Formats: sequence, C-alpha cells, structure tokens
Amino acid sequence: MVEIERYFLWFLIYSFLGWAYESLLYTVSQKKPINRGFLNGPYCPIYGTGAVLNLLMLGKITNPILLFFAGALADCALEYLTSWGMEKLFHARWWDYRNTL
Amino acid sequence: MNLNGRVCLYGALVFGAFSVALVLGIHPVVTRLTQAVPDGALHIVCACFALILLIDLLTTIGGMQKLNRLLRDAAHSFGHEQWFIRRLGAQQKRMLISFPALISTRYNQALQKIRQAFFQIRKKGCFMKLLMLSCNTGEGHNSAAHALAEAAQTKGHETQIVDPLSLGTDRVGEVASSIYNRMIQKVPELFGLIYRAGDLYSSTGIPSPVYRVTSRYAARLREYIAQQRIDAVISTHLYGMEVATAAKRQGGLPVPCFSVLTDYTCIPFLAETRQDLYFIPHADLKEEFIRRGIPEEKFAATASPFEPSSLIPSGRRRPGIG
Repeated sequence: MVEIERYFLWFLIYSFLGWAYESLLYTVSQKKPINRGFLNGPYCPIYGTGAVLNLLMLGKITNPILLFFAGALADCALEYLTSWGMEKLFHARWWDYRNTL
Repeated sequence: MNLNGRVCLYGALVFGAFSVALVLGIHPVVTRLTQAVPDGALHIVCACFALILLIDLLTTIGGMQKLNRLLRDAAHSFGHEQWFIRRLGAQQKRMLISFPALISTRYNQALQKIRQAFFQIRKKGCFMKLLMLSCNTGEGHNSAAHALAEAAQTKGHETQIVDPLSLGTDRVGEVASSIYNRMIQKVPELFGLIYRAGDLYSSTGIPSPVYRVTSRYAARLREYIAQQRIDAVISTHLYGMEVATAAKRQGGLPVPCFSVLTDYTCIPFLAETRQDLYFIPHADLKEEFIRRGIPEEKFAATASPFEPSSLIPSGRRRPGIG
C-alpha cells in the first residue's frame, strides 16, 4: 500500500511540474497568466501519468539514447490515447497539431 | 509532422528529452526526498489529494457538459453570443482562456464565435462599440438613433450618438445645417422645393453641395473611429452617411458603415452615399432605391426603428447589429 502511495505522490509531483511547465510556456507566449490543464487545480494529470508510466516501464534503463526513444514513443502513445479518449468523452480537442510541424 | 493532430514530432522530441531527464536526473532526487516522508504523513497527503482530484474531476466533467449544452444551444441560435457568454461559468471561461486551440468536434462554429465575442468583451469591456451618427435637423433621426442604441445596449454593445457635424473643428457644417433648419421651419414650402431641386441635382451625378460640406468632416470621423476604437458606424441621417461615404473614399474606413433609413422614400442625395448596408423600412421601397443607383444587395428590409417590437431580438439576426 505504501508502495502505491509513493507512486501516487510521484504522480502528484510530476503532475504539478507538468502544469508548471505548461503554464509557464503559455504564460510567456500569451503574455498573460495562464492556468493550463484539463483540471482546475495546479496539476496536469497527463504529465503525472506519463512520468509514472515511464518510471514503471523504463525506470531500469540507463542508456540515454534508448531512454530517449522509448520515452518519446511511450509518451506519444499516452498523448494520443488521451486526446482520443477526451474527444470521445467530451466532444472536444484540447490540442491539435494538424497545423503545426 | 503529426498523427491525426493528436501527437507531433516536436512533442515526441520534448517527451524523449523529458524521459531522459526524469529517469536519469530528476527522479533519483525526488526518490531521495520522498523517502524522507514518514508513512503517516504520506497517508494523509495521499488521501487529501485523492479527494481534491476527485472533486476537481467531477467539477470539470460537469463544466464540460455544461459547455457542450451551451454550445448546442448556441449552434441553433443566431447571434446572441452575449447571452451565452453571460452563462459561462468559471470553469468554461478558464477553458477558453487556457486552451487557445480548444475545438469542439460537434459545435466548433458556435465555440469559435463565442470565444471571439468573449475575448472581445474581455478586451474592450463590451461586445461592439457602435457609433450612431444622427443629426439634430429632425427629431425623427435622433429618436431612431436612440431606439437603435437602446436595443444594441441590451445585446451588450456600447453605443455613442454623435452629430457628425460636431466632430469638426470648423463650424461650416453646423452653420449650414442650422441655416437650413431655420429656413425650412420658417418656410415649410421651401422644403418641398429643395427636395425637388435636390432630386434634379442628383440626376446629374455631380457630388452634391451636402457632400461637399460634409466631406470636410471625413478625416475627423476617421480619427474618431480610431481613437474610440469603434467597430461599426450606423447613420440615421443623410449627413452621417455622407461623412462616412467621404471617409471611405478619401482613405478608407476600417469599419463597416450602415444606414437606417427613416423616410419612406429615397431622399435627394442619398443615392450618392456608399454604405455597406441600408436598412429600409419596407421591402417595397427597394425598387425606388435601385432605380436611383444603389445596388440591390445593399438593402435589408426591416420594420421602422420606431416600432419597439422590431428592435427586440426575436431570434432573427439583424445583419451587422446583432
């Protein structure tokens, strides 16, 4: 149980860091304070989920190149699934890269 | 490069870098720090945040459902963005602000319209700033302007009623206008005479003396529109139309100009004005205006602005004002 709670705590920490990263990025680009995230509080669960999944699946990898590609692939899969799932649930898209590179 | 717009190459590179930083750099530190947290505190922190996240999640789901309901209603109504904006709660407003790229797969047109109006109101404090150009020559023109202003205000627009001839620094127009007023008040027969003479003059196609005088105010009107950040000009009197026309000709106007015609006929010199749209009291008048040289597509037949019922939004959008 404590083990699960550690992971939940890490989920919270990385959700917060992800939120800080996103909000900073958009606060700078929009030139006004932006509170990013699907949820209202200062956390982006997708970052927490991604981080915890990375730790569970890739935590033992020490080769940075392998880690880079495996992490990119895993997180993209998560991002794709999240985007798809939220569209099915809420009929909206929170991000759309069709017009970006 | 992207996949259905859901993931992109740039994102993948960022995630790859994050993964390396997380596993090799950040997480060892986080592990050390979190190991110091005693089990008792961990239980409390986890329980509290689990509750907070649950409440937040439920609030967000409810908020998104409300947004979708609003969008569905908005998609089936014309205009009235103001009405929907007033119904946006904190959650929906934050979504609009925080996700500039948020799109609705069902009612995107409605979402984008509401978003645009929402940001317009946030920026300017009102939906549109409308400049009504009336003139003191006839109270009819003023009451039309006031009636329109009142209706526009109920829809969240800000209105200003201005006599275009009071915009200028010289008084030529005002003097000419007051002479004309006194003249027709004292000798009403002159009014008919002037009308007929004006009609004759109009048919020559030469810019009228009215245009010559009023065009002196065109530059001032352009300045005023820029200064006051006006979104549209609505004239209820010929002078306003003439000034706007001159401003369009002289250097263009960044905003659309509309006319609300209060007369049941095409008055002299009206045909020389160029407005984006003329609102006429009755469709039957169209023919006369077209004969005078104003293109057919420039007309919208609405009831007279004196009938209050015609001003209360009944679900039908009035072009440009709605």
